[in-house]
Amino acid sequence: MRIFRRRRSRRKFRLTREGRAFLLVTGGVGFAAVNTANNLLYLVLGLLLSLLLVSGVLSDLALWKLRIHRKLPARMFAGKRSLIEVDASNEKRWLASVSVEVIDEIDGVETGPARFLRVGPGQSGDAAYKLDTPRRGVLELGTMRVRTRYPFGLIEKGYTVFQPDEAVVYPQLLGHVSAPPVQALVGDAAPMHRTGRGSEFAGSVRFYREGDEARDIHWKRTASRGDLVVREHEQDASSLVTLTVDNLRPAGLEDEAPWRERFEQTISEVATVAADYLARGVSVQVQAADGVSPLVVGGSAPDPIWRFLALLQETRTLGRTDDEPGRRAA
Amino acid sequence: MRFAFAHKLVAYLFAGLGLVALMLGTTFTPVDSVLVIAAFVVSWFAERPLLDRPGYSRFWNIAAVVFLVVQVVRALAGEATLTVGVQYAAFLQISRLAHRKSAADYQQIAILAFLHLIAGTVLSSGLDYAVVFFGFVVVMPWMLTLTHLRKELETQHGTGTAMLRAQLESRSLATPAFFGGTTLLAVPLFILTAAMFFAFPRVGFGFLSGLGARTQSVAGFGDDVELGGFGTIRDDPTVVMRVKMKGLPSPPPPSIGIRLRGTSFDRYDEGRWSRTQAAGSDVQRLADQYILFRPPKPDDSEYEIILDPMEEAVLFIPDGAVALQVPPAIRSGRNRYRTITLAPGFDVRYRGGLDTALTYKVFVEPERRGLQERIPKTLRERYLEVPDGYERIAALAQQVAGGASDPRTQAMRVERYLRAGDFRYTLEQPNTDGKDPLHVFLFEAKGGHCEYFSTAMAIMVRTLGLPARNVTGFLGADYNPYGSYYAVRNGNAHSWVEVYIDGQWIPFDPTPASREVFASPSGLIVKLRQMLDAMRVRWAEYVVEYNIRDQAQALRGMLDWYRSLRRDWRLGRAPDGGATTGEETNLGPIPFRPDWRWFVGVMSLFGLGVLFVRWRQKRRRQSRAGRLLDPDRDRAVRLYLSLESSLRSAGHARPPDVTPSEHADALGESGFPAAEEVREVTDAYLAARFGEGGLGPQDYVRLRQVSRSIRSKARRPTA
Repeated sequence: MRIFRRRRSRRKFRLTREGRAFLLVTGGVGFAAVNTANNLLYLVLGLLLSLLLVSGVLSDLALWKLRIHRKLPARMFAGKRSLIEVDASNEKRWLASVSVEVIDEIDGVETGPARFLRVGPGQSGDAAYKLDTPRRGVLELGTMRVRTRYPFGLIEKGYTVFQPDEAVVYPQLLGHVSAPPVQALVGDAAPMHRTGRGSEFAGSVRFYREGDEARDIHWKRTASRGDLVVREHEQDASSLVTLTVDNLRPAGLEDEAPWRERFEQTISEVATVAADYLARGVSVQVQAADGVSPLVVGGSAPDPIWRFLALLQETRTLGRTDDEPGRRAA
Repeated sequence: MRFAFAHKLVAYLFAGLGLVALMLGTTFTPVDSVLVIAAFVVSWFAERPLLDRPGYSRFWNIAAVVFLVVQVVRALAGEATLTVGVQYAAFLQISRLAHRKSAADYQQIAILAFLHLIAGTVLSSGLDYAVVFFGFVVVMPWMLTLTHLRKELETQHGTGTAMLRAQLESRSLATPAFFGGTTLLAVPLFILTAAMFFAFPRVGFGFLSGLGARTQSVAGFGDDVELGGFGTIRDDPTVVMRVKMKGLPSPPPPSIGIRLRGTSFDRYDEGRWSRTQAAGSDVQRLADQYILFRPPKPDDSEYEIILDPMEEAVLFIPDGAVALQVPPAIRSGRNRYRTITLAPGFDVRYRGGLDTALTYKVFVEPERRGLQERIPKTLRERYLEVPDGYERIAALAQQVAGGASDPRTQAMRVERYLRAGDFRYTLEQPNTDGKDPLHVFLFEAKGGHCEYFSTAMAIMVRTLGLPARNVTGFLGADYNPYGSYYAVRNGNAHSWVEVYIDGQWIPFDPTPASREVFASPSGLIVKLRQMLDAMRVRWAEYVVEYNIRDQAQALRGMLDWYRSLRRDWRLGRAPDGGATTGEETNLGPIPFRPDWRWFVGVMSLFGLGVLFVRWRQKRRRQSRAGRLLDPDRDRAVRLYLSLESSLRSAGHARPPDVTPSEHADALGESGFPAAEEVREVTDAYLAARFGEGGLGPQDYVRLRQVSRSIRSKARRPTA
């Protein structure tokens, strides 16, 4: 039976600037007390040391039985500031946790702290911090530092929590890009029964996804299930667009930076165009040199496309002279 | 309560306590105190938008500099540096209070208040400091916590923002629960402060202590005293000394007529008594005992006197005193004995000032009467001096003596004449109007207080040819049940006469009805005063005068107590395991004798209790999360945790974003010596944890050993 399983690092503490000054004063008072034999100075010295001790104990109590949980937003975009929520749950029965900060460390860089001024006993609190994600791709989050300077601001105590998590940062969407009109495909190329935004209710429901319209919510089913569900609609016409992204990096390039810049620009354009098509009810698929995205039917959320684009990496090619990564719509 | 208001209130409380600490002692004059209090009150009303005016900050900054310059000039001009410094410290606090905007300002207020508390340790050591200190212990947690929270709010929302203002106006932080909880912090603070105070070893050198100690001003013990001086202090209830005695009946009498001799005066002229200045000799010392007449004997009564600091360095001696015991001061771990001098007139004085109350013992021979003292030739005539123009008084003395030739009879007749005659005791000063006060007292007013009576008798017996002197001291003391001592008040000051008969000075008290005059007071106010005085004595005894000798004594006491417990326990066990054979303590057999076995037993129980509680918590947590594992899965988890521990020791810990299977693969690819074992354990874990396979106890034990062997295998150098 393992009882002392450790999910977090040991408590660490350091003196704040005020704490260092406090310690200096304490040393001075101690020196004066010893030299003057003034019992009242010994009394003051005892008070100062007691304050430090009590401060340390209270800091520990503030962090005791405090569960921290990170909640990532549903979507994060490159070049856009996201709000990462942190939930603090105080499992103590009588004591509140006051003045607690939670700092995420991402790629060795500390994020702005999420501050909890007070989390009452048996209660939870939410706070958030802003995160800038300049690049698309996978964002790995690992350790969270939890610290407090409560109650007197003399000692900062904290510990590190291992909460591995992963978020996919979608490509940056461009406002000035729009999709050209597309003709509907008929015959065998057109799927017969597809769900998506349309005028007829297909008779089925699914769980709500971000991007769905509120008018599609099936309230009765939502009430009975306790989760938001939306109606599925069948599309009247079938349209499909395949967007192509050339992720082959030509060999022999002297300066790869311009190519990379254009490549990222293309990714962003494709992401924007794909979303536009899907909103118009056009099904979309993205093809790259080394893979193809899932087919997303028109009217659905573009997340699978965006995820594919977020994770799309450049690949090397030999003997290719065309240094223009491009997108082609089929 | 709104946070901003609560913080302001607490800041003012805290700063106020600091200012009170500065006002203790004698450094602040009443005018200074009134000014500081007025400025303190006015600063309360300094709020926005006044604080935001551009000239306002500038005004206070300039004022601080100007005031500093003024104080420096005053110090250079000769004013006491301490006074100047304390005044500037008070001004700084007022300026901070009048200019508080952000958390940084409140921090400065807290720092200044705290520095004032430290300064107060030099200014006063009385019970008033104890009250201020107590207030600090209670208010300091409030102040520091609120200031810290304000700083956090300002960091979070920025200074001067609407969000910050909303938070400062919020009532959710400064709640009664907050203040109640923070107030409770005073309890551990007190306990820890007291523990550290008593435990710190006292090895000080004694510099700079008690610079501003208050001394009692009591008339009548200096180099001269004016007739009528005692009358002005008759109603003064200030306690000047406390007397503890052994062997008191139960309950102790509410008051006693103890006479405590202070000093004597030999020359009378124009309504004023004075002392002839003569060098005293050092009283012989044996260790901490000072011999006045002979060393103390076991039969002698002991009087322990706690004397508050006075302007005059007089030691008060009861009738029949033969020796004194004055404990030495401890400086740098060494005993520093006081010098006690005995001047002509039997004036017992100590050298050096008093920072705090002086506690000394007097050994009294119960049947001893009078003071045996040889009159020096230089003083013989002085004790017979009578001012010119006292013929009428001389005639009165002759008449009162009635032709008696025995000096003792003569003195007694004069004493009786004044005490039991037409004279009355009164605190009203007789109206002298340019006349000799003694003549007015004896022939006109026939009433006055003790000095008149003693002066009259001294002069009258001098006219009869008997050497006499006026003696001042204290008569009477009232019992303080809260401190178990007799308190001698300023109002107990008294004057009597000593007449030199047959080689010794015999005391005579011609003041009529002294017992009625000095009746012990009663009432609620008196009780409160007694409680306060008892607290003052305890404060001085256990805190201010606490020294290394007391520490050693306390430690010895604790060791003796522990040894007595062990001894009693051992004696309680006979060799054959039978009944108690050894001596029992005076209080009877001790029913419970804790020793190391009990300690081990209690700690073991405590440890088991902790383990049990944690196990229960874990089970509750798991069942709450719905992750109560069956035994196989639980073994699998423990097995893998063991493997992780071994890999950590080998320097190949699994990164948190890598799965167990991926990690095993990675170790294999990198050529880790124990890669196969890692693979085996990992596969067994995955099968039992997530698959259909189980993990029996025997397999678990075997795989656990495999997991442990990884550490040693990883350390072995590869070929």
